[in-house]
Parts: sequence; structure tokens; C-alpha cells
Amino acid sequence: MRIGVCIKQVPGGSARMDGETGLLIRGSAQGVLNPYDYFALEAALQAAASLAGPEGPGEVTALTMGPPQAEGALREALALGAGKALLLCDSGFAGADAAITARTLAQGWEKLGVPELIFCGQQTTDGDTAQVPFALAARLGIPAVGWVKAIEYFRAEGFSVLQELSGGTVRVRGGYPALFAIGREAVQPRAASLPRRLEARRAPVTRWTLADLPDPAPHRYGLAASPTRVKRIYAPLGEAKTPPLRVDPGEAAALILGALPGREGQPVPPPSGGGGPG
Amino acid sequence: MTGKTETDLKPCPPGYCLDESRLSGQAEFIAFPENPEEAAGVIRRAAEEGFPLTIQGARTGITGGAVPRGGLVLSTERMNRPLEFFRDSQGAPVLRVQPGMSFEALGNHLSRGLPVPERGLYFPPNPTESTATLGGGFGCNAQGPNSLRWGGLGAHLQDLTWITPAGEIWTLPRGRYRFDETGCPLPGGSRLSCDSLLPAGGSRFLHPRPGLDLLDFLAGSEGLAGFAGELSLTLRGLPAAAWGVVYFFEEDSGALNFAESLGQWRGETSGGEALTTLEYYDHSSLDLVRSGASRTAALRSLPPLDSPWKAAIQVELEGEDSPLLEDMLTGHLELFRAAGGREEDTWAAGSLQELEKFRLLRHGVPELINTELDRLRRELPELRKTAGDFEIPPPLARTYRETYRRDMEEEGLRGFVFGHLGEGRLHVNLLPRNGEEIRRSRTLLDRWAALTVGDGGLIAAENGIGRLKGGLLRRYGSPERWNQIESFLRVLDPGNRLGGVEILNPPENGEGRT
Ligand SMILES: Cc1cc2nc3c(=O)[nH]c(=O)nc-3n(C[C@H](O)[C@H](O)[C@H](O)COP(=O)(O)OP(=O)(O)OC[C@H]3O[C@@H](n4cnc5c(N)ncnc54)[C@H](O)[C@@H]3O)c2cc1C
Repeated sequence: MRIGVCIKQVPGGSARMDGETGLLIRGSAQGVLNPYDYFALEAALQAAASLAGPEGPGEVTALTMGPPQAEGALREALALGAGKALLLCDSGFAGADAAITARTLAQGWEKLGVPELIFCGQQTTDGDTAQVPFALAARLGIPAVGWVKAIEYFRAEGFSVLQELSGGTVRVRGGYPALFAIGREAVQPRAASLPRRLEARRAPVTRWTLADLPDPAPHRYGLAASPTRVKRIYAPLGEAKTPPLRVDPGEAAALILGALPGREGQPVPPPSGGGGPG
Repeated sequence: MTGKTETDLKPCPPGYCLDESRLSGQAEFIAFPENPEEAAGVIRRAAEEGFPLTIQGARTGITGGAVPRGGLVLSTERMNRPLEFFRDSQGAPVLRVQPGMSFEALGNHLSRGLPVPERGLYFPPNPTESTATLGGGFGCNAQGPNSLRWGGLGAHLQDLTWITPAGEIWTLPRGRYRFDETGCPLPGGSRLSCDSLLPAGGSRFLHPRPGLDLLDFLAGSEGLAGFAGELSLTLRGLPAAAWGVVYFFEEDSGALNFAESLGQWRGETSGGEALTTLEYYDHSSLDLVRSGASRTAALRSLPPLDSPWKAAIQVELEGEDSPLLEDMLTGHLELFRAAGGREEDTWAAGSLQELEKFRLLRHGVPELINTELDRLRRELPELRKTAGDFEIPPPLARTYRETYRRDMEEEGLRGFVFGHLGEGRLHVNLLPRNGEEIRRSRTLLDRWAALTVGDGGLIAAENGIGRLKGGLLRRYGSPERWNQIESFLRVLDPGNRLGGVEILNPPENGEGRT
């Protein structure tokens, strides 16, 4: 069975926003693999192991769309166990929103041969939309299960996973093809071994441009094709500064008691030993 | 350094009377000065009113150095700001900070608070406990796993504002006050006279040698010789390449063989590529993390530890030349195979961000030991941290590891051995379960202290003497050095406000008896 995983490079720790435009300054922080994608990759590798035939586990292919440096995320995937890596890289892809990113990824998979099983991270830490997996499944015409919080099994005849929905957990069973958006609780990501990580530094990464895709029409990619416009991005303002209260334990207990539900606004009893909240 | 110079004394809440040693004390008052002048005012007031004074950072110390013994606590909680960033005359980046700034706040400031072109700098010392303060790090001369390359915190200071126990403020730029064979000049024209050639005699505490900077001499003085009021930290550029690898073994001997063979990789290449960390974990430490990882939120991002590994060696390397580092790692891998290791039993991270995850392993062990200690203390309130941070010449590490294991087994005691194998500084932690085991644990620490000093090693080599190790040092350290330390304290703190003499010299059955 062919298994694919969609990954993305995101800015590491200290990315900066352009104060004027509200846009992320790429290159302001070292790029890292989107933290959610570690879980997607681990789920893919575990599925490959569970579905292994007599010749061993099938190959997991990692796919990303991004600038040339996104190769770093693919090398991370290779280090962790992916067998093949593909980068969709063209200035024409820049500025794609969730819908057009999904379209571009779908084109990549179509050219490569759509895997029976595709794994995505639940969301990314930069875009944060959590939309790409479902838009991709829609493009490919395959069913998707999001917010996967546990994997029960992947067998030749089908899968069983637990899905976190508001208000409860649902067990979803189905067959292939299928796409999964994996949450952080679903699996425990492995570490790369040293030989694999060293090899991954030198392993080949396939790179395709717009011209390589089945539909090479430029107007269907990138910013121009994207219906979403980001008007402004800003950090929460946090204007209402709450200075820390410095009180002794008795006063603190009285304050907490006074704030308990059902007691708001009621007079707070003075702590034993005197002194009201200060 | 403007602002008021008077600070109110407040009643001291019990939360400020303990630290991570699980010792507790008491104090009548606490003061939260906000700048060196205020701190000097508090110190003078303690002297005038005859209060014993305890200097306190974040209380993450594990030997009780910040636990008060009555009187007044001087907390650095409100001296927690970065002050000034500048380049020195050589162009080196320097950040001046207040002593109550935590390592975590420092990291955040370096990545987000500096002017944009200066981002990407870091401060190498890292005692792994991110809530610890820089002042506390100076007080203990903190040495984290990367001390193999970077040494203690004191070595990374460019200057220091020091407040004496009499409340005088000294400025100590690196290079101005140095020891010669007979002592060291002090600010104000006086002199600290001593024999600077005396061997360490079991402790680095206030240990002079010719050429030593006064600043380095005071690093690790545990709040017993004065107060670090401001610190100028020498920063470094982040290395272009960094690797972290954990090698796991099914046999302890494999881990020790491997570590010994790595010994040849110590030192730097001409381009500065070097092994910065060489840590060891015994099977009990790995078991502890295995069982604790699911219960401890911070450890959940560790990779799975489900294989039957019995020991591990963790290394970190950094440098500018990435291919050269990769060559070094290929060499390590060959040594690993030769020591019986299997390639798949490794965790490797090729960036600073990724290797942070593995650092959780190092931090998790002492953290989980303390959790376990708290659990045991519910039934056994007299239980304290019962641990040794002996330092022995690195070639003896294997023998010591074996001695710790054999002695614990013979005494039927539960214990953990982990730490800085590369520097011969293994931590051995015991978890006695009843009064009799506490007694036997203390006997073992005494036996190991005697052995260590006999081999030219150090007692209390990392976490300070505090209120837990004075007895060991008194019993097994050299009497000449002991007298020297007392004579220094008489000069540096003539009124004994900071209580050094009694703290380092506990009654035989008191807290200092570990
Ligand atoms: C889980 C865990 C892991 C740890 N790992 C390490 C490690 O790897 N390496 C290591 O070195 N330590 C380690 N420690 C110990 C501890 O975190 C460090 O020693 C730390 O530097 C103490 O800082 P603090 O602010 O908590 O100081 P405190 O505990 O408050 O004080 C420590 C000592 O420093 C003195 N002091 C505090 N501030 C000043 C000041 N401004 N001027 C002069 N003296 C002062 C105090 O009087 C006291 O004697 C660990 C602790 C824990 C809990």
C-alpha cells in the first residue's frame, strides 16, 4: 500500500511579523518541521509497519510545497523514516492560501500516484487554519478523518481510529483510500537514529516546479488564485494589564474564596489574624 | 541605577523558607529590593539591627543555600530585569542584567528583546533548571551538562557589581583584581592575604590560585561572601551547527567503554568544533524516566523509551563547520558499534531546536527524583535530599560508577547515578525509605566522600555546600583549606552576617550531617 504524508516547514521559535504589513517575515527565524507533522509522520510510519507485507514495510513518501529551504523539513522526514521526499517549489506557488495549497499538493500527489493512505498534521503553527487536510481530501475525492486522537489499527481490510469532536470522541472505521489529520495525542513521535540523520543530509530530494504538474496553468496557483486575503495579523493587544497582587497567604485565600463561582461580589471574610485583602 | 534606596521589610511567608533540598528554615523578615542601592540598604540594615541575612534567588538550589536561619531574607525576585546591551571594546556582545533574572527570561530576552540585528546570541551556561536565576547561578557557579566545554557560569561574566556584607558596593571588572601567590588586592585598597598555592583539599569553594580573577574566586561563594547585585554576561553567537545524540546500551559496561573511547574527542578543533556535553544515565535513571514520562507533562515530548536499554550516553557537539561535525559523528558511530551498540539504538538531533527535546531527559531525572523524594517524605518527614555531586579525575569514573552500584546493592538502597561523566562529575542520588536506610545512606555518602578526597577529587563539586555538605567537607576535606576558608570569611564578612562559619560548620548531628 502506498503511504504519503504532507508536511510543511514553519518558522521556528522567534519569527517576526512586519509591523507595517502584518505579514510574517520568512527567513527571520530558522525554519523547522511543523510540530504537528511529527505526529503525522509517526502515524504514517506506524501504519507502514502495521501494513507491512513479506518484503517489509512499504515506503512512506513525504510531500511539501514551499521555498527551496523547505527541503530542510523533507530531510527531517527522511531522517525520521520517510523513504522518498518531494518538494513542489516555484515562485508561482508563493502566497497560496489553504484552498490553493491543497490544490497544489493534490497536483503533486496526482502526478506521483495518489497514495491509498495520506497523513497530515492537524494544523500548522504558522497558518493555523486546520483546513488544508480537508481541502486536499476534497480535491482528491477521498474521505478524510480529522482530529485523530488515537489509532486503534491499520489492517489490510481497513482502519479504526478515534476522532476528537466537540462534545465527545467518535470511533471511525473505514477502508482505503483515506486521509487523516493527526492530533498531538495520537502517537508518540520517534527520534531519528544517528545513521539515518546523517544519511538524510545527503539523500536526494525530488523537486518539481509548476511546469512539472499535470495542470501547469500559472493563474490557478499562488496568491493570484487564492480567494483568501489576510488583511492584518496582529498579536493580542493585552491592553488591560493586570499587575500581580502581592498579598500574604491569608489574604490570598480570602481573595480566591471571593472569586469562586456563586460568590462573586459577596463580601470577603477577613482572614483570621486580621487584615482584609490589600 | 536610580530609585529609592529604602526597602520595606515584610514578614517572611513560609514559602520563602525552603528550597529544592527539601530543607526548611525560618525568617522574621523578607526584603525585595529593586536595585543595588536598595539591596545595599537592606544589607546595611541587617548589619545595624543584627539580623542574620540570607541571600535568595529562585530557591532551586539543592543543598539549602537559600534556606534562611532566622533574621532577614534578601530576595532578588524584583531585581529581575535586563539592563543594557552593548558591545565591549573587542566587539564582544555583553548583556548587563539584574541577578533575579531567570535563565528562561534571559533566553526569551535574547531571542525577542534584543535589537533585531543582535538576535541569535546566547549565554552558554545552562544549569537545566530554567526558573533558576543568574544570581543563583553565580552563587553556585552553576555548571550544566555543557560545562565540558563552557565551564561554570562565573567564567562568562565580564564584570560584576558586588555588595559586601557591610553594604559597600564594589565594581569588579574582569582583569582588574587578580590573585598572586600571596593574595589579591581588593577594591578600596585593602588586600585578601593568603597562600594561593594550597590544593583544593576537597572543595572549590573560595579556592584561590595565582592568576585567578577575584570575580572567579567569588563565583560559587553561595551567598556567604556577599551579594551579586548586577552581572554583565558575555554572550556568544549561536553555533552554525549543533548536534545532540543519545546512545543507548543494553549493558552498562558498553556505555562506559563508549564514554571512555569518546575521551579522545575532548578538546576543540582549530575551528572551534567540540564536544560540549558527555552525560551518563544508569538503568535506574532510565527506568525512572520511562515510568515518569507519561505522568509528567514536560516529558511527553521525549521520544519513546520502551526498549530494554540499561544505560545511555548523551553527547552534544557544536561548531561552525557542519561537514566536520558530521565526520566527528561518523567517528563516534564507529566507536559506538565497537562498544556493542546497535545503530537503531540512537536518538539524533541535528539542530538546536530538536536537541532541546533530548535535554528533557537530562532535566527529567533530577526532577523525577525530587518528585519521588516528596512522595517518600509524606511518610518520612525527616528525609532530605541525599545525594553526592563528587568530582573525580575522569579516568576514574568507571571505577566510581561501579563502587556506587556495588555499595548501594550491598546496603539494599535504591539509588540513581547520572551526570557529567566527561568531567568525572557523576551525581549519585539515594532514596531511603525509612530511618534505618537514611542512616545507611549517610554512611555511604561519607564513605564515598573519603574515597573521593583520597583520589584528589572534590566533594560538593556542582550544587554547592549549602546546609547539606558542610559536615562532609569538614570531616573529609583538608584542614588547611578549611582554615583558609574560615580566614577568608572573616575578612569578607567580618560581622558574620551571612553566617558562613556556622553554615559550613554544622553541628555533627544537625542538618549538615547528610
Ligand atoms: C531539577 C534540577 C536540576 C538541576 N540541575 C543543575 C545542573 O545541571 N547544574 C547546576 O549547577 N545546578 C543544577 N541545579 C541546581 C540549581 O538550579 C542551580 O544551582 C541554580 O543556579 C540555583 O539558582 P537559584 O536562583 O534557584 O538560587 P537559590 O537556590 O535561590 O540560591 C542558591 C545559592 O546562591 C546564592 N545566591 C542566590 N542569589 C545570589 C546573588 N545574587 N548573589 C550571591 N549569591 C546568591 C544563595 O544564597 C544560595 O547559596 C538543578 C536544580 C534542579 C531543581
